[in-house]
Amino acid sequence: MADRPGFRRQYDAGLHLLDRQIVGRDGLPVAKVDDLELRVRADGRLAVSALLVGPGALGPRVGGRLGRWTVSIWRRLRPDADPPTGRVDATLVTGTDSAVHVTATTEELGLDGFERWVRRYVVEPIPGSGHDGS
Amino acid sequence: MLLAAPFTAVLLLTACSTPEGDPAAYREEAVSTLQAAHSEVESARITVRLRLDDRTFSRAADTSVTGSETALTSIAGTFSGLQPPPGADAVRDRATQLLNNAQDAVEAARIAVRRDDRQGLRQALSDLAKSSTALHAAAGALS
Amino acid sequence: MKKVFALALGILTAIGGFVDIGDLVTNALVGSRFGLSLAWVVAVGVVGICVFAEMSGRVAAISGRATFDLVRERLGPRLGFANLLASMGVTFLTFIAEIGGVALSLEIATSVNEVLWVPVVAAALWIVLWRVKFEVLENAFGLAGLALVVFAVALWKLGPDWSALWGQARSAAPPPGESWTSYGYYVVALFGAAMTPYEVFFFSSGGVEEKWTAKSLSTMRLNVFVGFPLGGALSLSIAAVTAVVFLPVGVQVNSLAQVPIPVAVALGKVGVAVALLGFFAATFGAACETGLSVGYSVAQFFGWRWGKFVAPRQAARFHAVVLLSTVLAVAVLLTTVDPIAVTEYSVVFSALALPLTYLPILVIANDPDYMGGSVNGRFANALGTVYFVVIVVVSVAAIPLMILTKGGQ
Repeated sequence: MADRPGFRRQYDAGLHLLDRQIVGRDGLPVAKVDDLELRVRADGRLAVSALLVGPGALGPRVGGRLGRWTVSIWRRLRPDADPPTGRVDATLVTGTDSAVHVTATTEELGLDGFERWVRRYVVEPIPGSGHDGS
Repeated sequence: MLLAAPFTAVLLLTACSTPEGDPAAYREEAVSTLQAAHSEVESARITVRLRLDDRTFSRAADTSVTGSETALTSIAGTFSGLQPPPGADAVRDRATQLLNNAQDAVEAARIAVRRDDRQGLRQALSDLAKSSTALHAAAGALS
Repeated sequence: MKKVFALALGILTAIGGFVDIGDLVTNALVGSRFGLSLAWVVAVGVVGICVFAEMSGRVAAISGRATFDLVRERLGPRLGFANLLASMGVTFLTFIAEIGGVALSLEIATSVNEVLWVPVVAAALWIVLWRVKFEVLENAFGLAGLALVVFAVALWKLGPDWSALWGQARSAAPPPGESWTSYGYYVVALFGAAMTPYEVFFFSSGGVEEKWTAKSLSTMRLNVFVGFPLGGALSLSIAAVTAVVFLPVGVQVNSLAQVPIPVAVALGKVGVAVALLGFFAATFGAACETGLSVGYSVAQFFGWRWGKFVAPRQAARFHAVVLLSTVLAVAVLLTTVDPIAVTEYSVVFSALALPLTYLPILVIANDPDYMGGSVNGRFANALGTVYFVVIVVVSVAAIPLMILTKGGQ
């Protein structure tokens, strides 16, 4: 990942990645980087292997009781017993400026579960939801 | 928690000087009651005057006078609920009488405004003016 | 020619859109009790919001990101979340107050009780935010808000003793019958009313949606530096007319229905009609802005798609937050709570939350990572820092003064 164009060789991951907006190929917001998945490289240094997204990732970082509640509510709302945290593989990252750009869209990444749920049960039943204000 | 201590202290202090035990505090309470009542009566008076001169709409005047009426009821109710300390009965009676007159005058004004009754409005104007002067004078005399 | 028209429109809507229910109520109240002795607070507050609106507008134009978007990056998730809760809470409180203000304006015009208007207003508001061409509406409400100029006209017509008014303003001290603690409380309230946090969220989010660039900066600055001060002057004229008509006779403004009275005295029915139109436009416009701002702050914190120009299907969570806020606001108002009381709390809590809102803007506007070469110059930083100290003082004083004066009595 450090050799990709648009990247700096070394990061302060906390400064340049965490809590940044992930922007998809279509220029639309995907999610925030809620946490990072790290791996140890061959030379012993740490590299970011994936961006983690969603309450399962954010909860532990917020910490304390609020963080624990967030994680447990999220786990209960997912159908599987041990739900995986939302994940964006680092290979999809194309570059960073003030946001983190990725080559996929939200739907392709499978990170639009909550949005789809709200769209289906809250927004679509109400007439006029396809009409934009421009 | 450390921040809670000074706040609690202030709260306790402000609660301590209740008008119920202290004649001076009761007087102060009476003065601010009379001033608040005067504010409502004077506001109603100006509104009735504007309505007579056809310088405002009947509905706007109605909302304003009804608002004054409701406020006055609340002011009078709070005051009558206060326990007067011994020796403060004269203050209480005088204030209560003035508050009752004020409520009557504003109520009559509200009725006249809603009916668009010019005769009633003129009578209400005169009563409100008298009540306003009396309230203002009494507040001044007590403070 | 078209450019001049667009420019004028921008400034006019900035002026008309400046006053909201907090400004209306607080200025009318302060004028009737303190005369113009608190005018300096309005002046200082207006300059303050100009400084921070320009910074957040510049951040939106150069970095392409809205304020709340960047708050989380700068403060981290814990502090950012606390900031979100506080800002969202205050903006939501203001939203309730604005809807209440619209309902009160309709009550004055029709004598139908305000509580009955609340669901109607909320429904209309939500339909506007859901369906209507927003740009047209923003302009319509902004221009209609200019009707509040009737207060300046009324002031002139009343023919007041200008030197006496100027004397009150210069004295900067409470008039006889008012204490310094009440005075201090209203300093806090007027700051909160002038420097409302949602203004900055709304302004920067709008800038991002309209895709401002470095070229948009001069227009943005013109709108801010001309529009906002003139809007502040409108607020002051409301205080001035109540100072002239109510202060001498001891009437303390405590309802919105009393605010058109000085206009009626000066200009009769026509004046009242224009004033009511102004109230309606100012409060409805502000209700749209605060409702959207609640949505903006949540969506931008979590990284969701957002936008007033975006169809609800494309930004379901954002629109769901706005819908939920509207429903909750109606529920609160249906408890028959006095909207004026809600307004008074909203301005004081706005003052309390000011440092939380403005510190991230100051920090981000200095960050070359986001701003490139357009970081704050020395003058902007000097002003920003001075103001930050001022708002911290105001914020710290807010709760003690509220307790000591029992909410401003």
